[in-house]
Amino acid sequence: MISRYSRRPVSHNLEIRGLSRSCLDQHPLPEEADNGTAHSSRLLHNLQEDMSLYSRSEESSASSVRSGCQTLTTDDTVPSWSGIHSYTGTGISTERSSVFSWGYDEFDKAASRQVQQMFEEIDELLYERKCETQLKGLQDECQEWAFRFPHLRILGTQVVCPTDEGFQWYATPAQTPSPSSSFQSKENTVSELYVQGRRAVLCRPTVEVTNPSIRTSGNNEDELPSVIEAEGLIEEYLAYDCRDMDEECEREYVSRRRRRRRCLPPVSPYRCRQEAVLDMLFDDVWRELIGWIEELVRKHWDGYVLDDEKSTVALSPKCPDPQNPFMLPSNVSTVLPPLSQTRTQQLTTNLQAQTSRVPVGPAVAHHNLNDLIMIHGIPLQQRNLGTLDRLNQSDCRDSEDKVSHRPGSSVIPAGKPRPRRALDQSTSSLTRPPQSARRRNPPPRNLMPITSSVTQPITTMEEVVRGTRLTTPSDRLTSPPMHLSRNTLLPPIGTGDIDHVYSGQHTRLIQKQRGSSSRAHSAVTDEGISLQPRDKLHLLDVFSRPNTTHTFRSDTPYHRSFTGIDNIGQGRPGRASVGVDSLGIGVTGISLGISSSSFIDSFSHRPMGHFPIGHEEEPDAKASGQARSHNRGGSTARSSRPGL
Amino acid sequence: MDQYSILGRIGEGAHGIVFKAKHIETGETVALKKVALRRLEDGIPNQALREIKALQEIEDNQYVVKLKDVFPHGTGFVLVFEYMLSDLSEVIRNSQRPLTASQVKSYMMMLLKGVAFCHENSIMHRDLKPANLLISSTGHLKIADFGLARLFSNEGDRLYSHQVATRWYRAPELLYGARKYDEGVDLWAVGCIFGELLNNSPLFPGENDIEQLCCVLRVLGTPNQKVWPEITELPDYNKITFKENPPIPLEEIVPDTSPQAVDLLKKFLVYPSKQRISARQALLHPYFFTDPLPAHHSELPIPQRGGKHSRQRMQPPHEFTVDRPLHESVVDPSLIQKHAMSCS
Repeated sequence: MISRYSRRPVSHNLEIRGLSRSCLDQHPLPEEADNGTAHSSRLLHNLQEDMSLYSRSEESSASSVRSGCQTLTTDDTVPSWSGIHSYTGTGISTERSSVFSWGYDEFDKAASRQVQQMFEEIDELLYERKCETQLKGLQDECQEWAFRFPHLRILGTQVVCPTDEGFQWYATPAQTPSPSSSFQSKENTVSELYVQGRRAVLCRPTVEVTNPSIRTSGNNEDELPSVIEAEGLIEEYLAYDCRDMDEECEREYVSRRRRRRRCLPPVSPYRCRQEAVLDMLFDDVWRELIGWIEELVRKHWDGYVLDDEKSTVALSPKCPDPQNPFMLPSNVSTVLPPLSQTRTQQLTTNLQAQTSRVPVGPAVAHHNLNDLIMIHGIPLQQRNLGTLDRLNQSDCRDSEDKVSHRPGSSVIPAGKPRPRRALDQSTSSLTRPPQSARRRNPPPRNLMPITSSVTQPITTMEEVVRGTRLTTPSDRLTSPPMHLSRNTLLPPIGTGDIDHVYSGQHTRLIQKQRGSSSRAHSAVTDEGISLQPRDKLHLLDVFSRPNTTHTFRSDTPYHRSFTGIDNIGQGRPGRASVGVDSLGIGVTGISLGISSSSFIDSFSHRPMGHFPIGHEEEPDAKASGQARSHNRGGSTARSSRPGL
Repeated sequence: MDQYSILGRIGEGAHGIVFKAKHIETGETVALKKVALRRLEDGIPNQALREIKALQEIEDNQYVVKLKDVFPHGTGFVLVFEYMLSDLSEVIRNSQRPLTASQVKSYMMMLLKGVAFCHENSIMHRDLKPANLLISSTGHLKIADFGLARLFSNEGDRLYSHQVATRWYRAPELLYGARKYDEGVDLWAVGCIFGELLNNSPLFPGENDIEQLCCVLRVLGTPNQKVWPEITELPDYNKITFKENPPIPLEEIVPDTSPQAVDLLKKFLVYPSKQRISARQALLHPYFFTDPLPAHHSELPIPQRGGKHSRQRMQPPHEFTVDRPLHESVVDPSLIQKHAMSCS
């Protein structure tokens, strides 16, 4: 019952001693009576050593009785002794003792020893059916309990003190006092083997197990010490394999380092083996990975350098159609899988081409955006011509990308009535001067959405491009919001296009990202939408600003059966301004006419591409509670719906 | 004792003072129930032994409060329990709005699971009442205070004390002074608790034992040999007579309650103890399988101990914790709707 946690106010030693002695004076007898005389010498000895932390209350009290002067001398060396007394309801720990009205003095200790003894007798009654005790009243009760529930316990004394680095073992007195005086406090359970339970599974090895138990149950003090010497070191380890924990660790096994942090080094052989295997595996995989990455990086840089030197024209023939579908999966899953050199080069060259074209592009593009019909006509026609080979398409896309981009910068002259637009313009107009720098990066981003399956490789490049773009300071300064929106928007769109190849999973991602971006800069989002998968579509969307992402949402239900064009029509009724309406319709008409012949294949993609969106969004909106994790996008969408 | 630092006093029960404390080594908050022994010479009373043994034997049930440790202290001993935030009586008393049907269902389910477990282990609690049903910080209900618990056996004619259970929840056979009874007394108490949950007020709030009996008889009707054959054997049957009184339909006692609930309540509140629905059977009652289904424990109110108002789990929505499902911590879209509109 003596704590090692209690405070140790050294300065109070004198008071304490006085008090404790007075207490003892009042109740000297019970303690004398309780302690066998045999203990006395040992107790004193213990006191001088490290007994204090582990001593039973009975011992300490006994020692105090026996040697008032002894305590005086040992007081300093045995801090916990004073600590004990500080706790015993003297003036020192007033707050405690006030709350805790039951003071704990020598008398109480004696009493609690008695109670402990009663407990032990009850236990004996329950477990061993020994009933020579004086608890007559309890015998029936105990019998009932013992009858109803199986009682089993194994009693013994720990033979060897376990040693472990980082842990200190406080030895208990070598000879355990008679069981009646032992306490069941934590300290004791450490030193004594005490197994108790009500179920025991019998199995073969029990034959061996029972032997020691029989021996220990005898609890012959004489035997045990001799055993120690005879057997030398016995290590008692309680190691267990916690499968669940392992699994958890595995799940969190993202990197080895992290794991190290999480778990202590394994103890059990099973865990050791597992760890070793995992380590080896990791080393192997890592070595391999390093090899790949090295190659990849080298190729990438080679390509980069080459592209710088190359002209833009060479692009188109290099991009063979049939391969693309194959490329898609790899791209989507990770950026890592090694790209063939040619492809990376293409990508970079693509980029290059765009950047190089930049000066030319703007003028055309501006026009396109400003008055709708004109704009559309030009790029689309280009496409039509080029559709024969998709490579051309990609080229067209480049230009289109610029188109889609340009709106931001060039719209000013046209001065379209849309208020949001105006916002955009203002931001983008600012960016104008550094446009060149900007443009280098955006195009690829634009490319992404437009290209359905064909230009997929570009997505990977995008990453690269993005990285470089960040470095240009002008970018940052000019219009961060724009960048942000594009950044976030683009990749998802790309994946969205891919989606028809895959499952609807990715669309969710899109949704999320789109949503978040729209939340962050509501005005800018339009831009993002304008980047939507296909030319006509996204152009139209540009005009239907107010709806932003959410036009899609509202459309989605109908959407499925229609092509992209149709769905725009659907969305219209909800919109407020008539002007926009007419504009949009006109556009759709045009785009239809232009694209229908050549873009059949692309259309086939589009509705599918939207499908998953529709699918995902609805449940999202409905059961927002269920999958709130996606909800950032969803929630914003919902919230802005009134705007429709 | 020194392994614990006392944090404060929780309450004072019939059997001792209860403290809130912290286990120093593990930092775990526990409840210490100090049971004093009046006279050491008399040894440990049966009651104390029963409480300890009962808790020890059924410690592995989720719906029974967990006894962590027992150690002697002074002229008595201390029981170390897991710390529980509140109890059902406070929930009933403090919840601002009456408990919903699904919350009541949830509490009843947990209570019955705990009772069923006890009864399967031949332990009857004999003092079930809302104050002895503790509510954990997670909203779980756990049966506590086994101070009156004891083993029962179906064979043999063991005599028990009839001075058990708190009056309002005392079964009619106990009120008639029965010395032979069974776990049915717990089931009666469960019925009373059920009614209290449904009504938000005690079902039979008798001022004294006689009045208690009156309360019961008024609702269930005056018992006769036809409905309760064993009544004539009860010690106090002939000591008191009540005027003939027809039963009141329970639907009137617990208005605005679903028919299934009333049906289940009826099955608990019957005179013959053997006819009361067992806890195990009750758990299969259609009541628990009809809409609204029992509430998840996270939907149950958790009043602060001694607090005046219940905390209906209205934490700020932007507080993220690992343990809570994400959707709870995500901002409710409707909250930001206004602002979102102004932006769009």
